[in-house]
Amino acid sequence: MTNNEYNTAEPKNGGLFDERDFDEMQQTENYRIGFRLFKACYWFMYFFSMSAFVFAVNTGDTAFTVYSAALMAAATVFHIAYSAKVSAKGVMNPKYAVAMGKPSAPVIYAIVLIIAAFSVAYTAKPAALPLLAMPGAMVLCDCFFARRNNKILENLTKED
Amino acid sequence: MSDRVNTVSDEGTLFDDSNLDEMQKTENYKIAYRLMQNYWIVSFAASLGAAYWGSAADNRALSAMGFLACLLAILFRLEYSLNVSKKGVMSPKYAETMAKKGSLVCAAVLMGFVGAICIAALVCHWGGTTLALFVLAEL
Repeated sequence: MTNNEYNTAEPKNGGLFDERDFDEMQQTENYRIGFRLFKACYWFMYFFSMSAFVFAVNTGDTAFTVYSAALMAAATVFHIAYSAKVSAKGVMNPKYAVAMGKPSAPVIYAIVLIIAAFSVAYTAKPAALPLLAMPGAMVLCDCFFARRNNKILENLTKED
Repeated sequence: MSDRVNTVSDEGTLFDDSNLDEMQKTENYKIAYRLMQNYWIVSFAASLGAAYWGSAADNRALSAMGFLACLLAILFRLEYSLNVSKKGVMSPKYAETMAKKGSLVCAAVLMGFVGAICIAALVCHWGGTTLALFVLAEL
Protein backbone atom coordinates (compact mmCIF):
# COMPACT_ATOMS: atom_id res chain seq x y z
CA MET A 1 0.00 0.00 0.00
CA THR A 2 1.44 3.37 -0.95
CA ASN A 3 1.28 6.48 1.19
CA ASN A 4 -1.33 8.09 -0.97
CA GLU A 5 -3.62 5.09 -1.07
CA TYR A 6 -5.20 5.88 2.26
CA ASN A 7 -4.63 9.59 2.16
CA THR A 8 -7.87 11.25 1.16
CA ALA A 9 -7.54 14.47 3.17
CA GLU A 10 -5.60 16.43 0.55
CA PRO A 11 -2.44 17.06 2.58
CA LYS A 12 -0.64 18.54 -0.43
CA ASN A 13 -2.51 21.84 -0.40
CA GLY A 14 -0.16 24.06 1.56
CA GLY A 15 -2.31 23.65 4.66
CA LEU A 16 -1.34 22.71 8.19
CA PHE A 17 -1.34 19.01 7.30
CA ASP A 18 0.89 19.45 4.25
CA GLU A 19 4.03 17.30 4.66
CA ARG A 20 5.77 17.75 1.32
CA ASP A 21 8.93 19.60 2.27
CA PHE A 22 9.96 17.50 5.26
CA ASP A 23 12.92 15.21 5.66
CA GLU A 24 12.47 11.69 7.10
CA MET A 25 13.05 12.72 10.72
CA GLN A 26 10.64 15.64 10.56
CA GLN A 27 8.02 13.43 8.95
CA THR A 28 8.38 10.80 11.66
CA GLU A 29 8.05 13.45 14.37
CA ASN A 30 5.00 14.85 12.64
CA TYR A 31 3.46 11.38 12.35
CA ARG A 32 4.14 10.70 16.03
CA ILE A 33 2.35 13.88 17.10
CA GLY A 34 -0.53 12.96 14.79
CA PHE A 35 -0.67 9.44 16.24
CA ARG A 36 -0.84 10.67 19.85
CA LEU A 37 -3.49 13.21 18.96
CA PHE A 38 -5.50 10.69 16.96
CA LYS A 39 -5.65 8.41 20.00
CA ALA A 40 -6.67 11.23 22.33
CA CYS A 41 -9.18 12.66 19.83
CA TYR A 42 -10.65 9.22 19.21
CA TRP A 43 -11.16 8.41 22.91
CA PHE A 44 -12.52 11.88 23.68
CA MET A 45 -15.00 11.79 20.81
CA TYR A 46 -16.04 8.23 21.55
CA PHE A 47 -16.85 8.78 25.22
CA PHE A 48 -18.31 12.20 24.50
CA SER A 49 -20.72 10.80 21.87
CA MET A 50 -21.53 7.80 24.07
CA SER A 51 -22.52 10.01 27.02
CA ALA A 52 -24.46 12.27 24.67
CA PHE A 53 -26.28 9.23 23.27
CA VAL A 54 -27.30 8.02 26.75
CA PHE A 55 -28.50 11.54 27.61
CA ALA A 56 -30.40 11.88 24.31
CA VAL A 57 -32.11 8.48 24.66
CA ASN A 58 -33.25 9.39 28.18
CA THR A 59 -34.64 12.76 27.09
CA GLY A 60 -36.34 11.27 24.01
CA ASP A 61 -34.81 13.84 21.65
CA THR A 62 -34.72 12.12 18.25
CA ALA A 63 -32.44 14.61 16.45
CA PHE A 64 -29.96 14.59 19.31
CA THR A 65 -30.05 10.77 19.46
CA VAL A 66 -29.39 10.46 15.73
CA TYR A 67 -26.51 12.94 15.87
CA SER A 68 -24.76 11.33 18.83
CA ALA A 69 -25.23 7.87 17.30
CA ALA A 70 -23.70 9.18 14.06
CA LEU A 71 -20.69 10.59 15.95
CA MET A 72 -20.27 7.26 17.74
CA ALA A 73 -20.55 5.42 14.41
CA ALA A 74 -17.86 7.69 12.94
CA ALA A 75 -15.53 6.87 15.84
CA THR A 76 -16.27 3.16 15.38
CA VAL A 77 -15.55 3.34 11.65
CA PHE A 78 -12.21 5.08 12.28
CA HIS A 79 -11.25 2.48 14.89
CA ILE A 80 -12.03 -0.31 12.41
CA ALA A 81 -10.17 1.54 9.63
CA TYR A 82 -7.09 1.92 11.84
CA SER A 83 -7.26 -1.74 12.83
CA ALA A 84 -7.62 -2.81 9.18
CA LYS A 85 -4.69 -0.69 8.02
CA VAL A 86 -2.26 -1.69 10.77
CA SER A 87 -3.14 -5.36 10.33
CA ALA A 88 -2.65 -5.09 6.54
CA LYS A 89 0.89 -3.91 7.22
CA GLY A 90 1.45 -6.42 10.05
CA VAL A 91 2.22 -3.64 12.54
CA MET A 92 -0.63 -4.23 15.00
CA ASN A 93 0.48 -4.28 18.65
CA PRO A 94 1.80 -7.87 19.12
CA LYS A 95 0.29 -8.36 22.56
CA TYR A 96 -3.12 -7.21 21.41
CA ALA A 97 -2.90 -9.20 18.16
CA VAL A 98 -2.07 -12.41 20.05
CA ALA A 99 -4.91 -11.91 22.53
CA MET A 100 -7.51 -11.04 19.89
CA GLY A 101 -6.22 -13.54 17.34
CA LYS A 102 -7.05 -16.56 19.47
CA PRO A 103 -9.77 -18.72 17.84
CA SER A 104 -11.85 -18.62 21.03
CA ALA A 105 -11.89 -14.79 21.24
CA PRO A 106 -14.60 -14.01 18.63
CA VAL A 107 -16.81 -16.83 19.95
CA ILE A 108 -16.61 -15.57 23.54
CA TYR A 109 -17.24 -11.96 22.50
CA ALA A 110 -20.17 -12.97 20.27
CA ILE A 111 -21.81 -14.93 23.10
CA VAL A 112 -21.33 -12.06 25.56
CA LEU A 113 -22.77 -9.61 23.02
CA ILE A 114 -25.83 -11.75 22.28
CA ILE A 115 -26.60 -12.16 26.00
CA ALA A 116 -26.11 -8.44 26.61
CA ALA A 117 -28.28 -7.53 23.60
CA PHE A 118 -31.15 -9.73 24.82
CA SER A 119 -30.95 -8.37 28.34
CA VAL A 120 -30.93 -4.75 27.05
CA ALA A 121 -33.78 -5.39 24.61
CA TYR A 122 -36.02 -6.92 27.30
CA THR A 123 -35.13 -4.84 30.33
CA ALA A 124 -34.04 -1.41 29.12
CA LYS A 125 -34.82 0.85 26.15
CA PRO A 126 -34.13 -0.90 22.82
CA ALA A 127 -32.79 2.46 21.57
CA ALA A 128 -29.72 1.75 23.70
CA LEU A 129 -28.80 -1.20 21.47
CA PRO A 130 -26.33 0.88 19.39
CA LEU A 131 -24.34 1.26 22.62
CA LEU A 132 -23.71 -2.47 22.43
CA ALA A 133 -23.63 -2.89 18.67
CA MET A 134 -20.81 -0.43 18.01
CA PRO A 135 -18.24 -1.69 20.53
CA GLY A 136 -19.35 -5.21 19.54
CA ALA A 137 -18.60 -4.54 15.87
CA MET A 138 -15.25 -3.06 16.88
CA VAL A 139 -14.25 -6.09 18.95
CA LEU A 140 -15.34 -8.62 16.34
CA CYS A 141 -13.55 -6.74 13.54
CA ASP A 142 -10.45 -6.53 15.75
CA CYS A 143 -10.53 -10.32 16.19
CA PHE A 144 -10.62 -10.77 12.42
CA PHE A 145 -7.88 -8.20 11.76
CA ALA A 146 -5.70 -9.61 14.55
CA ARG A 147 -5.80 -13.00 12.83
CA ARG A 148 -4.90 -11.38 9.53
CA ASN A 149 -2.02 -9.52 11.22
CA ASN A 150 -0.71 -12.77 12.72
CA LYS A 151 -0.94 -14.52 9.34
CA ILE A 152 1.01 -11.73 7.64
CA LEU A 153 3.70 -11.90 10.34
CA GLU A 154 3.84 -15.71 9.98
CA ASN A 155 4.31 -15.39 6.20
CA LEU A 156 7.03 -12.78 6.68
CA THR A 157 8.85 -15.05 9.15
CA LYS A 158 8.59 -17.98 6.71
CA GLU A 159 9.97 -15.87 3.86
CA ASP A 160 12.92 -14.82 6.04
CA MET B 1 6.66 16.81 24.78
CA SER B 2 4.89 14.32 22.56
CA ASP B 3 4.13 12.17 25.60
CA ARG B 4 2.26 15.07 27.15
CA VAL B 5 -0.43 14.66 24.50
CA ASN B 6 -0.86 11.01 25.35
CA THR B 7 -3.39 11.39 28.12
CA VAL B 8 -5.03 7.98 27.86
CA SER B 9 -3.42 4.83 29.25
CA ASP B 10 -3.50 2.32 26.40
CA GLU B 11 -1.34 -0.57 27.57
CA GLY B 12 -2.28 -3.78 25.80
CA THR B 13 -4.88 -2.08 23.60
CA LEU B 14 -4.92 -1.57 19.86
CA PHE B 15 -3.19 1.80 20.25
CA ASP B 16 -0.32 0.48 22.40
CA ASP B 17 2.97 1.00 20.56
CA SER B 18 5.33 -0.27 23.25
CA ASN B 19 6.28 -3.63 21.69
CA LEU B 20 6.94 -2.38 18.18
CA ASP B 21 10.34 -1.75 16.60
CA GLU B 22 11.24 1.66 15.09
CA MET B 23 10.10 0.82 11.55
CA GLN B 24 6.81 -0.63 12.74
CA LYS B 25 6.25 2.40 14.95
CA THR B 26 6.81 4.80 12.06
CA GLU B 27 4.42 2.84 9.85
CA ASN B 28 1.86 2.78 12.67
CA TYR B 29 2.21 6.52 13.28
CA LYS B 30 1.83 7.25 9.58
CA ILE B 31 -1.44 5.32 9.35
CA ALA B 32 -2.81 7.08 12.43
CA TYR B 33 -1.64 10.47 11.17
CA ARG B 34 -3.51 10.06 7.88
CA LEU B 35 -6.60 8.83 9.70
CA MET B 36 -6.39 11.73 12.14
CA GLN B 37 -6.63 14.22 9.28
CA ASN B 38 -9.77 12.57 7.95
CA TYR B 39 -11.25 12.03 11.39
CA TRP B 40 -10.68 15.64 12.33
CA ILE B 41 -12.39 16.91 9.18
CA VAL B 42 -15.35 14.53 9.61
CA SER B 43 -15.85 15.46 13.30
CA PHE B 44 -15.52 19.14 12.58
CA ALA B 45 -17.96 19.12 9.66
CA ALA B 46 -20.44 16.97 11.62
CA SER B 47 -20.29 19.25 14.66
CA LEU B 48 -20.78 22.38 12.55
CA GLY B 49 -23.73 20.75 10.80
CA ALA B 50 -25.26 19.76 14.14
CA ALA B 51 -24.76 23.25 15.58
CA TYR B 52 -26.48 24.80 12.58
CA TRP B 53 -29.27 22.22 12.43
CA GLY B 54 -29.86 22.51 16.20
CA SER B 55 -30.04 26.30 16.00
CA ALA B 56 -32.38 26.22 13.01
CA ALA B 57 -34.69 23.69 14.67
CA ASP B 58 -34.48 25.51 18.01
CA ASN B 59 -33.14 22.34 19.61
CA ARG B 60 -30.91 23.65 22.40
CA ALA B 61 -29.47 20.28 23.42
CA LEU B 62 -28.39 19.50 19.87
CA SER B 63 -26.90 22.92 19.20
CA ALA B 64 -25.03 22.83 22.54
CA MET B 65 -23.66 19.39 21.66
CA GLY B 66 -22.70 20.62 18.18
CA PHE B 67 -20.87 23.66 19.51
CA LEU B 68 -19.12 21.57 22.17
CA ALA B 69 -17.98 18.99 19.60
CA CYS B 70 -16.88 21.86 17.34
CA LEU B 71 -14.90 23.37 20.21
CA LEU B 72 -13.24 20.00 20.87
CA ALA B 73 -12.25 19.69 17.21
CA ILE B 74 -10.78 23.20 17.24
CA LEU B 75 -8.87 22.43 20.44
CA PHE B 76 -7.35 19.33 18.84
CA ARG B 77 -6.26 21.31 15.80
CA LEU B 78 -4.69 23.95 18.06
CA GLU B 79 -2.95 21.23 20.06
CA TYR B 80 -1.56 19.74 16.85
CA SER B 81 -0.46 23.15 15.64
CA LEU B 82 1.19 23.90 19.00
CA ASN B 83 3.02 20.56 19.11
CA VAL B 84 4.34 20.70 15.56
CA SER B 85 5.47 24.30 15.99
CA LYS B 86 7.28 23.43 19.25
CA LYS B 87 9.19 20.69 17.46
CA GLY B 88 9.76 22.92 14.42
CA VAL B 89 8.03 20.46 12.12
CA MET B 90 5.11 22.60 10.93
CA SER B 91 4.60 22.52 7.17
CA PRO B 92 7.19 25.08 5.91
CA LYS B 93 4.88 26.51 3.25
CA TYR B 94 2.02 26.91 5.70
CA ALA B 95 4.26 28.35 8.43
CA GLU B 96 5.71 30.87 5.98
CA THR B 97 2.28 31.99 4.76
CA MET B 98 0.77 32.26 8.24
CA ALA B 99 3.77 34.08 9.70
CA LYS B 100 3.48 36.95 7.21
CA LYS B 101 2.44 40.27 8.69
CA GLY B 102 -0.34 40.62 6.11
CA SER B 103 -1.90 37.29 7.16
CA LEU B 104 -1.91 38.35 10.81
CA VAL B 105 -3.53 41.70 10.00
CA CYS B 106 -6.15 40.02 7.76
CA ALA B 107 -6.94 37.47 10.47
CA ALA B 108 -7.25 40.19 13.13
CA VAL B 109 -9.55 42.30 10.91
CA LEU B 110 -11.69 39.27 10.08
CA MET B 111 -11.93 38.25 13.73
CA GLY B 112 -12.93 41.79 14.71
CA PHE B 113 -15.56 41.94 11.98
CA VAL B 114 -17.07 38.58 12.90
CA GLY B 115 -16.97 39.47 16.60
CA ALA B 116 -18.85 42.72 15.90
CA ILE B 117 -21.52 40.89 13.91
CA CYS B 118 -21.88 38.26 16.65
CA ILE B 119 -22.35 40.99 19.28
CA ALA B 120 -24.89 42.70 17.03
CA ALA B 121 -26.69 39.36 16.60
CA LEU B 122 -26.85 38.91 20.36
CA VAL B 123 -28.03 42.47 21.02
CA CYS B 124 -30.64 42.45 18.25
CA HIS B 125 -31.82 38.90 19.12
CA TRP B 126 -31.22 37.57 15.61
CA GLY B 127 -31.36 34.04 16.95
CA GLY B 128 -29.13 31.01 17.02
CA THR B 129 -29.27 30.36 13.29
CA THR B 130 -27.62 33.68 12.48
CA LEU B 131 -25.03 33.12 15.19
CA ALA B 132 -24.27 29.65 13.88
CA LEU B 133 -23.85 31.08 10.38
CA PHE B 134 -21.40 33.70 11.61
CA VAL B 135 -19.39 31.15 13.56
CA LEU B 136 -19.28 29.07 10.39
CA ALA B 137 -18.09 32.11 8.43
CA GLU B 138 -15.42 32.79 11.04
CA LEU B 139 -14.01 29.30 10.78
